[in-house]
Amino acid sequence: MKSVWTRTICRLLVALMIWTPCYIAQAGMITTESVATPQAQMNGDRATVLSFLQRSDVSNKLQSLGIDPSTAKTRVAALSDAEAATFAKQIQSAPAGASDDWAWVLLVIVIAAGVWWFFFRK
Amino acid sequence: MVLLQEVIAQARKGYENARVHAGVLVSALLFSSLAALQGCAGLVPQTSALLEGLPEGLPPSVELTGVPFFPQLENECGPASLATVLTAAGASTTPEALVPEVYLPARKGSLQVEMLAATRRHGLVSYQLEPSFVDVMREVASGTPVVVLQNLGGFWDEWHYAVVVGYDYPFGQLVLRSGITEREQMPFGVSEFVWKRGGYWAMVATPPDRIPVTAREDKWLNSLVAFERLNDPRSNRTAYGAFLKRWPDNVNAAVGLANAHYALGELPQAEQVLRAALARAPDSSIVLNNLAQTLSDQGRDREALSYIEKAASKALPDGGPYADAVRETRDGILKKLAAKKN
Repeated sequence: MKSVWTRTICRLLVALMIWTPCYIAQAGMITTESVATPQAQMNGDRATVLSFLQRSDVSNKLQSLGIDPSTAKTRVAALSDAEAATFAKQIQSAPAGASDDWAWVLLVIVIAAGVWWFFFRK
Repeated sequence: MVLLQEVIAQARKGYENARVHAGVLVSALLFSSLAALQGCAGLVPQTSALLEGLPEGLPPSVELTGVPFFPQLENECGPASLATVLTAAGASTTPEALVPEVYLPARKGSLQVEMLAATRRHGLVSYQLEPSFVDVMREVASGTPVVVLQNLGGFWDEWHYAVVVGYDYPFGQLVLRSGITEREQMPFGVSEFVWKRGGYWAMVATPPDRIPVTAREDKWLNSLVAFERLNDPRSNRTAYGAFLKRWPDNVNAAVGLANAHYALGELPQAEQVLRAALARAPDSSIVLNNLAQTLSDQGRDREALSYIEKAASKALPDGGPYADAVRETRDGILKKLAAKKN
């Protein structure tokens, strides 16, 4: 029994050592939003057209994520041009202040597999 | 006797000093040992820097007890945190009312950019802080609660918004309104660690006449430009007026203030602001154009013409971003002058 525990702890430590650098690396992956856009240097008409296209793009993306068209319209209107430009790129990947359910499911499966491996496998 | 008292006093002082730093030390030690284990010394760099002493101008502890608490609904820490800071800044709203403004059902959360954008819909200016722990403390010390993005997951991502409402430097702790906890105490080291994993993202919401103490000139101007498009000229006048009180030399803010006056029909005030701006930036085609338009609207087209001709000589040859606007203003003034002659 003692050797089983020793092995368990050793494997756990090895697993942790493999994992830790990964999750630390993620900390640097989210970039702080930039507010300056090239739009400010553009001619008025072009900037307006670009802004319109970006805003309709953002509106479509909001709708595809479960927002109704009229709400999407008012939400897009609240964005500055610079924000609208970065929004479209961010919407799928940026942190959204919510937990990832699949990670929990995965963790439970990994723990269950571990328990089975050490205590029930003959 | 005197000697004994001195010894006791020294001992007590030593004990208090030790207690004062204990909180910071514990979290720092915990994380420095962790960091050493991983061969990564900069795990909580800002907390380590704080160990060297409380930065100047900050009280040892602050708690904004008047900041309301809205326990979050499932996954809706975004609306709850936003409602907390908006209400603290004087808006009247609830997390439920903010759900349709910031929540994304498919992402089960709220994007930072929409937290900033929704703030403006409530007559408040949103400002993203620098990624500095001390700046968060400074904002709280000045009476402004701060929304922070945290990543609380282990090997995975678990994003969470919380509101910093206080800190206790002697004990090395932040005080937060977080999730369903009204008063969460979190050691500096842990706070920085989860905040760092949230990209050091933090925002404040303030009324237009109250500039956050850590605000930078250019970034605050961007905040006002974004605020302007959603709010009435009266609020904009207040916002740009406050800006110019703090940074009187900013020409773009003067253009903003003049535009607010213009929109309110206060043409003499607009003219006055633009003339002051022109003294600082004599070649600005924006100031020249707007001054010309303001003069023209007051029936002073001959005076306006000299300014718009100067603007045209600057803006038209290089076909810059304001060429169309300047051309339009000049055409208008020339038309009015021609009509007067006939």
